[in-house]
Amino acid sequence: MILILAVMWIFFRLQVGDFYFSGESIAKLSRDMVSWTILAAGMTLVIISGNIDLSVGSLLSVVAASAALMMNPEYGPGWSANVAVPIALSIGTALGLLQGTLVAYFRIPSFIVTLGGLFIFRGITQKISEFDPRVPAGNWVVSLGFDYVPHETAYLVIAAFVLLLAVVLIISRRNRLQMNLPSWNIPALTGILFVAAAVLALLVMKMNEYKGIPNQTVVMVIVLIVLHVISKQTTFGRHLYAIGGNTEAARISGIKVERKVVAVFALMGFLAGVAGIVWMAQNQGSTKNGGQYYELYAIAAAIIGGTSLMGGRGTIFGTFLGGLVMATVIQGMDYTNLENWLQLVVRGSVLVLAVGLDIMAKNPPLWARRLQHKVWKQSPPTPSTAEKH
Amino acid sequence: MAEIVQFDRVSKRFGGTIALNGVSFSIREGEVHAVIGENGAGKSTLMKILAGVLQKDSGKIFVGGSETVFRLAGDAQREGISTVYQEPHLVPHMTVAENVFLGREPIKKLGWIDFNTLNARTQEILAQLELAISPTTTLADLSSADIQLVQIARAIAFSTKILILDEPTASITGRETEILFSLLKKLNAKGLTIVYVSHRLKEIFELCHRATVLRDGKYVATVDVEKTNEREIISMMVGREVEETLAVPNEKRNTAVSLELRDISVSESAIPVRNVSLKVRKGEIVALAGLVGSGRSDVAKAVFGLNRISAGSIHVHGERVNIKSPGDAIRRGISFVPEDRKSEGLIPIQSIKHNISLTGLKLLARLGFINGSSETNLARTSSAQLSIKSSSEEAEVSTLSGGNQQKVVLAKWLWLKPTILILDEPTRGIDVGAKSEIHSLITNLAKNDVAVLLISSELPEVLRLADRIYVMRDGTITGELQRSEASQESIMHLAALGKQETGGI
Repeated sequence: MILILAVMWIFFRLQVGDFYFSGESIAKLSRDMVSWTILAAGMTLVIISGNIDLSVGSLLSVVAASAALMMNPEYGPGWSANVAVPIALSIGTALGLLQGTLVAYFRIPSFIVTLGGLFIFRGITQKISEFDPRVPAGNWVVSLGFDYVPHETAYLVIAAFVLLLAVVLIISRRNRLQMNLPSWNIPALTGILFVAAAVLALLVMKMNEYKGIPNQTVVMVIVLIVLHVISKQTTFGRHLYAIGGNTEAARISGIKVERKVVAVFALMGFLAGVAGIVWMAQNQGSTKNGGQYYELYAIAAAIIGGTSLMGGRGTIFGTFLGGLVMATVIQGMDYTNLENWLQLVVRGSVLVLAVGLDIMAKNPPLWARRLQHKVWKQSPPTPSTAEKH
Repeated sequence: MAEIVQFDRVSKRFGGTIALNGVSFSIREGEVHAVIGENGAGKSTLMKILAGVLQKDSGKIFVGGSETVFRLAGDAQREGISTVYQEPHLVPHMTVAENVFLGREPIKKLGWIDFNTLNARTQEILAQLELAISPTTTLADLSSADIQLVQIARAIAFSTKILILDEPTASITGRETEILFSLLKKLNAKGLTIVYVSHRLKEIFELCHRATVLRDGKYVATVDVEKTNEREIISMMVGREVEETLAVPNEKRNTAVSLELRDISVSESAIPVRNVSLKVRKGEIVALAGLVGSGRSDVAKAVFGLNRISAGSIHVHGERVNIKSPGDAIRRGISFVPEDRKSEGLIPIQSIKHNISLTGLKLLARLGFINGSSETNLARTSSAQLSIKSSSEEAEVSTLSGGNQQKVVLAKWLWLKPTILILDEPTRGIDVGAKSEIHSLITNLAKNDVAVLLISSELPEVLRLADRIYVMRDGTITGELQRSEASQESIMHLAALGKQETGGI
């Protein structure tokens, strides 16, 4: 996956030129992926539990539109962000809760419930966004979309992040070694920390050359870390994996399956709300078609990142990488001089090719294995050697 | 007789587990050759390598005298090796004929399937095997035994020289087994070489000429079936002499009643349960016997809160309780080992550790955050106590043998220290060694005052373990037997006819 990202980055660097690795392009890449990567992180948990949520793009736009309307003095009451944002987030959560209830207690397949939601919420958005309400400038929500972390703070944040990573890795290493479980050796551990610190410092330096780290990127990173912890360390996360892995076994083990399903859809609704607020801030208001296709970007990012559509498997970190792949493909073409229609065609092809190669390397289909045996007549090559080709 | 298959130091490992370690033996043309061993001995792995589904790591396989390397299942089929698996590999919603020719359908011009030829040729094959199955029946309408026979028809329809059967009798009854055996004997008489994988010793003595025993991935011996006996084979499989543990009859008649059902009915279950009353005392092993489909599991599921009772009452330690969910049951000290470990007992794609801890994650967590060290400790202690064989507690459960998987199911319920334990077919489809381990485990639990309700279709198991036996038929209890009055005949009478065999009525 990382290999594929590298290849794509080199490809676009060659196509686009110096600008591609500039602070501005990095900052924009990290900014543009925020809203649907937040959706993708929530989607990962939904898919792990054995469900799917097709409504998130529309849900995002409902929240964005209602928040914008509440804050707009011309068409709405003109409330402050402190009032409007919590209400808008509650709307997102409530709609997620409602969909989850239909899935869990009424046994309607999540595909259908949320496909219905996709249309219904889009319809509601079109009504609320009738006049394309703008958000008045000069409050903290707008700064979320337009401002950047001050340069010095950015370094501090990165330092703190690396320190935190070091502490977490060292503690987990100590715990695992105490239990006689395999873990990182010291050189590998320091290596990882060193590389992480170097990469992050380089990124910050680059972005500081431009304007700095976008605020919304920070929001995304926080959401990703929180969801990672939920999925790996909490009973709730473990229950979701269990339900997706085998619902009956989970039920017999005493897990309240229905409640957890409602909860994961409510969480998804809340996250769609967060993504919606970020999106609104970025666009300084709402439009009728905001967040269109984002459900597909989110699902794609999760699947590319190794989440199994069958449920029970997937990680937030994988989804983050999947999000990067999607962002690179979506954004990269904008910088080329190709005509618009051709951009779409190339964008689609790059996506299928990149993901296809990744999947084929991990689990080559029959015909590819046959071909390998024809080419290398000796002993059957293992999948790891296949990866290199 | 010429040797048709020869294994020469075949080895295979999965990750850290050695599945096969330098196995060498040969199969003669025209014989019925049994491959036996406990679950996890490597017999299925060896058969999958012969069938081309898995690749060996080292060693050689000779088929008909020349070295062969099968990379795909199709390669083996072209060499005349067909396999019938334990679980049917067929499409339930297609007809018998469509299944027999699946993937090799005769076609007319334009690619249309030639259904006339398809059905006629299937009819020929079925007639040749003297099977009274219509080619146009939908497979889902057949019994599991007939489906097994269709699999064999499919396997031998295409110039097969060697037929591999992997535990073909696991899901069929005694009468059906006889039909299967007479078919196999007929095919063998016509010159077909049969490799028969099983751990049912009786079948091997009835059907096979020679038997090869594997243990822990190693070759133990090949014996002439005529010159050996069950005892010898068992000790080769287990590596030691197994005593038939006869549980000490424990007279726990006067201890407190742990679980009591008073006249319960369950209308929402698969098989409606009517007016069932039973008692299980502290430290007592009570069996719920009966044929499959008599409603035994439905009673258990009602006690565990998976089905709601429509009438009657459930009492736990003398207190009337209203159990609405498995969570309620667990809080009351009840554990339930379900019948089907793959679909109800385990999450196959997760590790041993995560499977064991699942039933009581809250006990291992503070404020919703799981304590990883306690979880690992738990998995280690449980694995050691139940001697679960695996490379580590982080191994995925689906990679374990059936016996070890069943031990994981037991582990996930026993660490909760239940006072009432319901076991639904705890030893189904597992090998002799694991079975005897689980039997002594159950006896020990009862000695430590756990009330055990044991559901089992295996009468020897019921007779060996149970202090008292209730027999069910058609969703209701048809009789209660003390250990002293119970025999296979008396239980079967109640299970099949619903009355005591008392001479007159």
